[in-house]
Amino acid sequence: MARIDPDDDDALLKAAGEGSQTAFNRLVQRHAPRLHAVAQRYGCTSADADEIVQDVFWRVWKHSSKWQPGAARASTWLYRLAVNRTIDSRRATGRRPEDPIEEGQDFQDHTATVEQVLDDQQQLKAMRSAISRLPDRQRLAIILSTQQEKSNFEIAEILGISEGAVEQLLVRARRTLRESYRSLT
Amino acid sequence: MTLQEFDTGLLTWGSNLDRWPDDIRSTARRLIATDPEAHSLWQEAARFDTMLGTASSVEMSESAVVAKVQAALETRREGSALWHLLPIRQLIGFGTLAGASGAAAAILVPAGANTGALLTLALGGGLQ
Repeated sequence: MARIDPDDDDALLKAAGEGSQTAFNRLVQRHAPRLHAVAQRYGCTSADADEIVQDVFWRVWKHSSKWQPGAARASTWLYRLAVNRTIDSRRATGRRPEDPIEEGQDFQDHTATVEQVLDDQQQLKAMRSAISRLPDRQRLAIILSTQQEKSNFEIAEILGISEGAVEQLLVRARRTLRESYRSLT
Repeated sequence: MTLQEFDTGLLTWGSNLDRWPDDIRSTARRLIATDPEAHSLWQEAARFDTMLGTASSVEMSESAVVAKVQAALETRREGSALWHLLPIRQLIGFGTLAGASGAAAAILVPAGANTGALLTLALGGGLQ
């Protein structure tokens, strides 16, 4: 078998479809944490996110042989599976937590005063709360754009909508969040 | 590019101008360099994006997530393999017997009878 680039998702998925366990494991290593983060920031608990990511990769394992290079990029397919499964999961539980994740990356400014750190923490909490209150599609678009650094074109492919529609979602989401941000500063 | 268009661009693509479309990126750069109001908007957008990036992030142990997923998939694969090892004829036979027992019970059991106990007996008999 030809040597596979460990960072080439398309090649990895193709090899996984041909039965390579090594290629499949590499896909899990590369994408499981990212998909987990999307599900969590969308509002799922860590346990639900575990289940979502497991389901996604179970489907990938079972159906990878059907994936055709050139139809959709492997990473797009993975994100699309994860996003759909995440939406289904949230619909099933019917929950919409205000801010499901208390732990999280904090500001790392070691020169800041105690007051400044507290202010930053409050702003962060308020911002997370504002993200969690966004309409579903806006929330997904902003998570994929800011957390996953996906281009608007990639987001459009993942969500199955036009690039123009993604731009509208992002403008609305950022406008709402910016208002929250301005009220905090 | 007007200030309004520039602001819409910041909302659409963010403050990192490398993510803007090629055909308007240089125009936006010029506006930032020449218009103090645009420069101020852009600086605010950069601070906002930093906050948004931090707020969107999730702290986790990546290796723990990967290990958990791999372990769960291994369990599913083993379960799937066991399922495939079961002889298909026995599965069909069990299904047929269970269905027939249920149908017979529905026809023969009088109203008010202890259906749970009868069903248990019927299924138990079918399995013998």
